Amino acid sequence: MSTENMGPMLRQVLLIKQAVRGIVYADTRMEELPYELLPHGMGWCIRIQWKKEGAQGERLRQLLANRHELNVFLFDEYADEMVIKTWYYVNEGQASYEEEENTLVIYAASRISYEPDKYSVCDRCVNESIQK
Amino acid sequence: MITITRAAERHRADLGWLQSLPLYSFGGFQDDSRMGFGMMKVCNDDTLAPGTGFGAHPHSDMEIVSIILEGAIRHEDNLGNRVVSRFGEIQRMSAGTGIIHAEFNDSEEESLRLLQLWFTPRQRGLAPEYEAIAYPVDQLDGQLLPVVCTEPQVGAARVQQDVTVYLSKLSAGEALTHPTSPDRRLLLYVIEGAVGVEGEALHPLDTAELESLEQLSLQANEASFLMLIDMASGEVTQ
Repeated sequence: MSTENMGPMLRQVLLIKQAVRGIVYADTRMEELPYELLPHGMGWCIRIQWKKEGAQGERLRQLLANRHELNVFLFDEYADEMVIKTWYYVNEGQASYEEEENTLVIYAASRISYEPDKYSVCDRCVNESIQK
Repeated sequence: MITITRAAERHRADLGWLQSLPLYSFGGFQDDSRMGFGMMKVCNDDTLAPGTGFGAHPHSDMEIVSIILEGAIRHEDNLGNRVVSRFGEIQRMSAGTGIIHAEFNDSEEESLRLLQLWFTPRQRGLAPEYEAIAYPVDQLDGQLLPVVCTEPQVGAARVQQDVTVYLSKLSAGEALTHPTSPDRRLLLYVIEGAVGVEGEALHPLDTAELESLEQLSLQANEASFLMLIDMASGEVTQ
């Protein structure tokens, strides 16, 4: 997917949701969660700084309990509200927590990038869309 | 064993453009006691206003069946499918390793009503697939017509799981029996009319979860339209 006509990326968002129920575990628009995306074999590894205490800790426990049902996204946001979304396939629930590093590690086997605007969109639905 | 959920007990989500009745936890409806029924994780009865819908979003490792009851649904996906389906047709996705899709009410005038069912697949990591099929509407009367099943069958969508979904239209007083097995689970969903089952009367949007039966007997107390799902008890995947 070419981004050469889209100018510089303004922001990248990490979003992690439970795939069936739609519960949000991580959204870097709402809280700071330093992360890095690294190649790993034929796939990718996402390392996220994550506290094991408090509200983050509770969400961590829920996330790990549902690690077979994760939807992991990176949204690359450009000028003029252009967005490229990349969804990562966490095929075997490969999510774990490294206690010493305070880091959540998620392995993805494959990914799909897409431009939401290339599909039908609905202004009436966007702001209050049910979690799908 | 029978567990009935009455229409009045069901959660109703009103988003303006979407009226949704999820039978199990979904989106804004979260109830730890309603996390699905065996391998069935989602059973939503959705009505979408004209011209509205769900924008592009992913699915993986899930068998997703959309049964159109009224109006027209437009499906678009990253596999290149662009399909409009109406009553008498069914869309099925095997999400497998991942599919991006959007689903919209194709009409600018009529509402769209559909039942959307999600089942865990028999195996993770399958190749993603999509199909739309038409079933013989004139064969709904007086019998349980399989419209979704495991083995390839003309007029039925194929899912990668031990699940059969039947639709049926019964006249008042008409009765049916459905042989099953105690190790299977059944879900009866009344779309229209009134149906008697196991000594209980079910009305539109009422559902019955049934287990440990050798045979299911139904009787229509008035002209009725129903869905019956017969599935293996275990979660075969993971």
